[in-house]
Amino acid sequence: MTTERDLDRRLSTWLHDEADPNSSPAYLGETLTLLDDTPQRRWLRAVPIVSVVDRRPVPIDRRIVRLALVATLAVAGITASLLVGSGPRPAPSIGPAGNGLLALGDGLDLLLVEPSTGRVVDRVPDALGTELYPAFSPDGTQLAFFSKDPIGDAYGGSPRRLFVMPTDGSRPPAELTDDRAAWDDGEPAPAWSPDGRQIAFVALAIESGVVGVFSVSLDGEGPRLVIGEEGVQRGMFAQPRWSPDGTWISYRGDTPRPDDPGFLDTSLLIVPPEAGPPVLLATTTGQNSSFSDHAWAPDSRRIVYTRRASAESADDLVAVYDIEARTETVISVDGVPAYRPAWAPDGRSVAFFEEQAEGTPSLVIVELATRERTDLGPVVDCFFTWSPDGTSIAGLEPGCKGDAVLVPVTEAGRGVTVIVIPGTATGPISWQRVAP
Amino acid sequence: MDLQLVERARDGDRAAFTEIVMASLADLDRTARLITRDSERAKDAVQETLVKAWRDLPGLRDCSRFEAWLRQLLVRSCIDELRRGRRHRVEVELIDLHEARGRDVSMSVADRDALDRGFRRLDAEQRVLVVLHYYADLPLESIASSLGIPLGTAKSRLSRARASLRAALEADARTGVAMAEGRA
Repeated sequence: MTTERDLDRRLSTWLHDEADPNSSPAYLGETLTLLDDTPQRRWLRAVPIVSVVDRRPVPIDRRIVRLALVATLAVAGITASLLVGSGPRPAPSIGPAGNGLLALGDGLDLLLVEPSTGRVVDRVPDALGTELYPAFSPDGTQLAFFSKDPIGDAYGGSPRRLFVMPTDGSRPPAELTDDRAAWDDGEPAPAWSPDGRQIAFVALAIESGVVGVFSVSLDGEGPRLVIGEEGVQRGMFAQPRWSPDGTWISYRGDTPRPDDPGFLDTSLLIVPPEAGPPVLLATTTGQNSSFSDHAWAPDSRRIVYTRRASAESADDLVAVYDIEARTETVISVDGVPAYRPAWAPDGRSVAFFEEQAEGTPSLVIVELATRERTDLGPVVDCFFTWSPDGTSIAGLEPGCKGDAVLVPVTEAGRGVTVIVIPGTATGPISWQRVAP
Repeated sequence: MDLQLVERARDGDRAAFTEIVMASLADLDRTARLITRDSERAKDAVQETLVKAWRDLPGLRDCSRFEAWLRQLLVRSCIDELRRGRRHRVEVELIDLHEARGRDVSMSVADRDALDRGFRRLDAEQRVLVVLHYYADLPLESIASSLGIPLGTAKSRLSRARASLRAALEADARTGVAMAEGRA
């Protein structure tokens, strides 16, 4: 029997023996010639427009502020008057829309891909690390994403920087956070407000030590704290999501257990975007990672989420919470682990993964009114998103180690199209909404 | 890595980048060879890494992170190389007797063969985890970050890789016993 320590020793010895310390690759000259043919990318450095770091207030001459405000409004008014009537119609911010581009990561950069042809129409490099978690604005005109540094920092996690750029590439990405301020432990796609003017995200304000949900305005205002606390652990606030009617921001939070405040439960809460007391929707006891992947229905009355089936179980289930009725309805099959739900654009059905005995999970769609199930089979894995018109789903191919795939939702898993991705498709996918 | 050298290279100084290449090529090549177990693939991965590094270096804001960034580029290139379809070519390693003498004698040839076979059966990310953890001695947090996966995922994948390697060693040990007893 090989012990752990023995295996460690043998592995280390073998690898160090295999790596010849005196080896000298013979292709130095060839590599330098390759570099001669490679121009450096003149990357337009992202322009920090705001900072999430709490800074001491600096006295400002209010007359200058007023003058600047008047000038900004005047420019905005002229620009708006030029644009009205001449540009394309914006996509409706809620409900089905036309299908635009796909945004997904290839392990380093973000790719914008035309889904019908699989053509990569643009690449969003930052060269600062990994670009991930793309999120198109509701009208499809902006793309927000995080950029993760190559290595963790003193906070022991993977700090991220939030960027936004126009989808047409007319301006370089603008940074909305300072270094290492933004992060989220649970798949933190930037959360757009329905009007596309603000983005909510979880962050640590470095100077004050406040951890919480922040909201940053693309107009240059903010970021401001929506809800947070000083000196708390990172998991206390996670996964903010904006309700489609703009009245709430939901988030997953840790709350003190009523009968024993020394322990924390995992809860789903909502809070007004302009800040205010949070409203507790549901709580699970002693189960980390409960209420993950929660998402608002287009009607802003229901939230679908993954939660642990019970305190004793390691399995997850998928349920829909009705905010007005304060009731939960489990929509996954009892005893079958299910996770990562996503609303269809019309809000009538929910797709989610259903675990199988082994291998790739099955993608299941449940029509909520009839409970009719459509099992698309093990066609996608890890991450998927609905097309804005609700006719297909884009996801990572089974195993999540290569390409992306398109799956028509009406043909029960038939007609899968592979989109070949240069490199390796990783992370969540966002599908641009455009006017139909 | 000399910070000023990286800053000069970032600003477009090719001579500075050549110095960086000369200083890091052997180490990159060793790591890539360990991951890919193929000198040609290692060469391709290293060259792709250095081309990307030169191309994208102007975007690197914090030059003190250059080495970690370069490692991340190498890891991605190695993984891509391994996934780019298998080449129909067998590489036979000729062990130099003098070199062999320098190896740790506590490990048998059978052990090395078993580890080699077990390692080749690992998927690309598991290979990266094993090499960066046991050869480069990097903490799992950094490795997870290089791979762009959560720490918990890195831990579980490393655990699976170790289990697979342990199984390879134990299978060989069983075969050895069977042969010794005349059953194989």
